[in-house]
Amino acid sequence: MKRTEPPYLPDCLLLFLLSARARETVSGDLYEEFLDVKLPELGQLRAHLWYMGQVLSFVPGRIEAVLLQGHALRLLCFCTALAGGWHGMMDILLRHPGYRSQVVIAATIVSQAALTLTALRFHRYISLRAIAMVGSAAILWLAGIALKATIGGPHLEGYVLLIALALIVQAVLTVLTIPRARVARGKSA
Amino acid sequence: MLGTFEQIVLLAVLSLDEEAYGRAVLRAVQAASGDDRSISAGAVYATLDRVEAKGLLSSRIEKGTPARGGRARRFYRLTQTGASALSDARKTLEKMWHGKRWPPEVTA
Repeated sequence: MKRTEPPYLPDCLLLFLLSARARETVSGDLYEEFLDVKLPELGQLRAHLWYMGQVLSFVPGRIEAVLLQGHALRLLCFCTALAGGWHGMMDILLRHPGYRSQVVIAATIVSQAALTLTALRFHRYISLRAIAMVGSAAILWLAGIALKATIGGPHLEGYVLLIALALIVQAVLTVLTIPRARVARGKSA
Repeated sequence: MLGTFEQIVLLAVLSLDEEAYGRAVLRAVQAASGDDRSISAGAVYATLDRVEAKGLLSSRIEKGTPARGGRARRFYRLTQTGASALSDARKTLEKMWHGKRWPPEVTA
């Protein structure tokens, strides 16, 4: 006997991609179309491919929603602030040659993370958002210098590489999220 | 100001009247565009959510049927705010088009 249910894994993916509010209604629409129209019209294989295509069309919306909510950016800011704070504290304690410049870099990373979190929280203040955007250019510049020094240097410092990559992603997410988060919150308000 | 796609979706809801649920709106938009593949389901559902959040549409839920695996169906309806927004968008376009010669004379 042939299975007449929509494919299981794409169906699970669809439920993950949809908001709680849309989960039942949208998946019901797709279910109905799949059984009533696509399966008799296209046959099982092509109907399954059609279903997969429909599910994938919800991916951009989900990515946008995650960006708008700012969860990814918040998490990243928390991690870079923690790493920068730890790094700065160790520099102050150990006082290696040139530690002052390292402390300034660590303070910049922590400040930018704090600023971005504040801008996400108080999104109505244009000046905060603007400073956070400028700050993202600063951490991008710092990350570039760190990457260049690490990759071109005699020792590959894994943690520096990791922090630099995190800063790059943070800068990109800041530019993508902060202006759009304002729009999304403004709409929902 | 409404975006073009938002206007299309609102007009589809308006034309479907009592039958305006997600899939029907998608079909109406695809039929209007003349190309089934260029309009994705994700884009239409996201627009429906967005315009509803703006207060341009209201929705109601109806119980699911066995044909839908028991899953509920959401029907949309244009609100007064939505009708006004559509009307404003139309007036703006009509003002912009007024007196224009078409097709325009263009220089190479």
